[in-house]
Amino acid sequence: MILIENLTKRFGELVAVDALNLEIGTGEFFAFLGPNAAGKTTTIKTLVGLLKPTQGRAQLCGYDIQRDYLKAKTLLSYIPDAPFLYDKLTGAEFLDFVLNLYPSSNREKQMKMKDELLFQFGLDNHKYHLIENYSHGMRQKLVFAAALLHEPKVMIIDEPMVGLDPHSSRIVKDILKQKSRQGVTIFLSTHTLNVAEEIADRIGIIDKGRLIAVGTLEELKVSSGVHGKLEDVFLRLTEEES
Amino acid sequence: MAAVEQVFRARVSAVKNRLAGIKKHSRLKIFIVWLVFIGLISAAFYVPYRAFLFLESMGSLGLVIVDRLLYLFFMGLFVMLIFSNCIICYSTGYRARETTFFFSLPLEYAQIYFIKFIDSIFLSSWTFLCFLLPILSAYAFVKELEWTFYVFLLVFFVPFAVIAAAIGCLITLLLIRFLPRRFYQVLGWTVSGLFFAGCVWLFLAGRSVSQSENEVSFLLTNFIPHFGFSQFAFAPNFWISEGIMKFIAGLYVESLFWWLLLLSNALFFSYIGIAFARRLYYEGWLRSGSSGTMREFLPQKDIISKFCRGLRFLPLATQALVVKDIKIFWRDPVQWSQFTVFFGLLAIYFANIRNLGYEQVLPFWKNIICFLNLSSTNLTLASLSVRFVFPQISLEGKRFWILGLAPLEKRDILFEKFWFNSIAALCISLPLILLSNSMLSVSPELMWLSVMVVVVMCFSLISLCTGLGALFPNFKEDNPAQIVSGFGGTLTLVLCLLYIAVNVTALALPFHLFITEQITEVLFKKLIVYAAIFIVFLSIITIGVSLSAGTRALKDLEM
Repeated sequence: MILIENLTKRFGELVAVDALNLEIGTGEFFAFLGPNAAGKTTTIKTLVGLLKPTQGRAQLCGYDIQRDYLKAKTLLSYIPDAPFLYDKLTGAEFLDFVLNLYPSSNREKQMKMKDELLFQFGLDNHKYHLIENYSHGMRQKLVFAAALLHEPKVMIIDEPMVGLDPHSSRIVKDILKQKSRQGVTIFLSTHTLNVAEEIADRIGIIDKGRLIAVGTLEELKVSSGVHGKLEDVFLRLTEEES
Repeated sequence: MAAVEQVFRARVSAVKNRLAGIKKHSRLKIFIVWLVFIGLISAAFYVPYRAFLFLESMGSLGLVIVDRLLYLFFMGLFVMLIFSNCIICYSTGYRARETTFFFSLPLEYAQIYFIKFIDSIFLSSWTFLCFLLPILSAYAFVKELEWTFYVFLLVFFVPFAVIAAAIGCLITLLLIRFLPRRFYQVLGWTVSGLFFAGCVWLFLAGRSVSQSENEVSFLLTNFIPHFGFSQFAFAPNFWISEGIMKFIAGLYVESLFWWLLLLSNALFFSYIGIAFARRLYYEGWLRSGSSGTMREFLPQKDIISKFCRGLRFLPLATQALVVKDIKIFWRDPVQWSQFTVFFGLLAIYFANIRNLGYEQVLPFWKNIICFLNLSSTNLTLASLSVRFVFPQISLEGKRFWILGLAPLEKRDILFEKFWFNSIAALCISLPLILLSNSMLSVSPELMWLSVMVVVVMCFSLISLCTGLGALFPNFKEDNPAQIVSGFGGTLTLVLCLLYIAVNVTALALPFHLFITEQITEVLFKKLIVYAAIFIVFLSIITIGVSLSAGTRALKDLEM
């Protein structure tokens, strides 16, 4: 579902992502970890087509994100870490806006889904209020609702739990697990290690632009020689690198 | 005051760092910015210089008009400075994150207000000063004044700018504290209502135009009396004008009197502002922070949602983009109140044409006025396009991930902005030019020609702003005024001005030659056709090049 081949992204002298190779299968829940400035967001932005790779390529559902971008983007959802939205639209209007940007064969079903998602995220009482009055958490939930509307096959998520209260975090985790079971591929970048530990099928760790470890939690424990929590594994692996 | 001093020290350091940062830009970019700046300043000198020379050549009547223009100029400047200070004081004193930081520090509310007041003086007056100096230099050249005049001018301008800033900040202080929470909605509707009422009043007002035998008597009976309102003795524009004229006449003691009057009023209004700030600033800041409306925008009741339903004939994605742009613009009174001020002033002027009886003037003057109206409509359109259309791609900035992720061609995003803005611009500028031409009773040929020019220019100017907006995006800024003041915005403004100048000249030249009997009617008609073809040709190239460059830039854009 996600295929990354020799992906490199340079900003002048700085190599933000260095020859990254990765394959993530259909319905797999992949957690992408790394210290600050390791290259996580750059990888994600390159993966979704917001940055152009200096070298290499990324494919989503068999479509190259640079060449077949329209097809790839139809099947993709991206949730950024900072939910910048149109403040002068209401929550419902924002969802309508996003819905209309994507081609659809069943608009009625999606409209129904819109109401369900607003209810699920506890936004139905605020759907006619301007987004400028939403809290950070409400914005994040609205972005999640927008991302799920067009029934994506691949979801790429950057720091999903920032600003969410425990109740909303639980809803998000449940939805993501459910989507993964339904065959949606999930690529999640996070600093919240217990989330990765709890729900990821495989974990990748990036540092200084290079993928230093990839595998299941157990595989990572074996390769690092640490038999504690993911936090200990992560610290050991990134320490070794530095 | 030590804390205030520290703030200003930090300001100075920031300016120094910014100036040092200029070195990082390419030399070509710096050269172009300087070239543009010098070009604009030269134009701001040359045009009034020619006008003053022309008025001088009219003899004593011209001298009277020149003096009256000085009063009028300072009155306009004073009103614009107050308006500019209102907006700057609101954005820096209430909306800026820095203000929140200041309120968390052990600072007196009056001290914070004082910092913001000084900021407002500098931010509002430096651009006006840049254009004031060349215009009054033109005046000084015509009057053959010595260099001391410029020093004197600066000395006079400082208290004048302080009075405007003090009044502007005081208005904002009072409005935010006492007006309903939806401050900008109220202000926007009030400004729009006032302009509309002004236009209606001017249009319906009884004409006081006398039949005139010649130009001089026309000016004396119909034109000069209209300047009277700018000579109100209790207004700062009167004091500065009187002070300057007394200086020119060598009456230095009287000139000093007017300067002292300005200075004492500047200190008085500044003190009043600080005194009010002690009681009102913090309360107002708290109110502005909680001013977000919790109003519900129900689709079945919201007027703009109902209006947008009429756009269902558009493809879904285009419809989504247009509806989003309309709603965002409509719900932001800061945007459309400035829009109203620009076109409102123009509408008031056009409505006034009837009262000034311009249709009675000789055909030569009538044509000049028609071309001036055409130019002013296009210049207003150009400045508005640069102000509102150029920053649109930049303003998508941090939200660009939404459009960047959608399965849309980047070209579609750009073209939606182009069509949406062009049609909106056309809806405003076309009625204005039709109104002014019908009031001037111009010939049908001139009417059709100006309509064609306005239509073509609307599309071209918007294409320039859309295309260059994509070519020079600034995703770091959220403030449209800051985006426009950068290199891309300045370059766009210059290109728009050049485009207008070339087109209006191409059109005005045959008329001028014909009216001054330098060419025959047959040749005149031929030249008009050639000019129209030239304008269409130039516009097609402008639209094509701007939009294709913009599309390419958007495709290559990295977020």
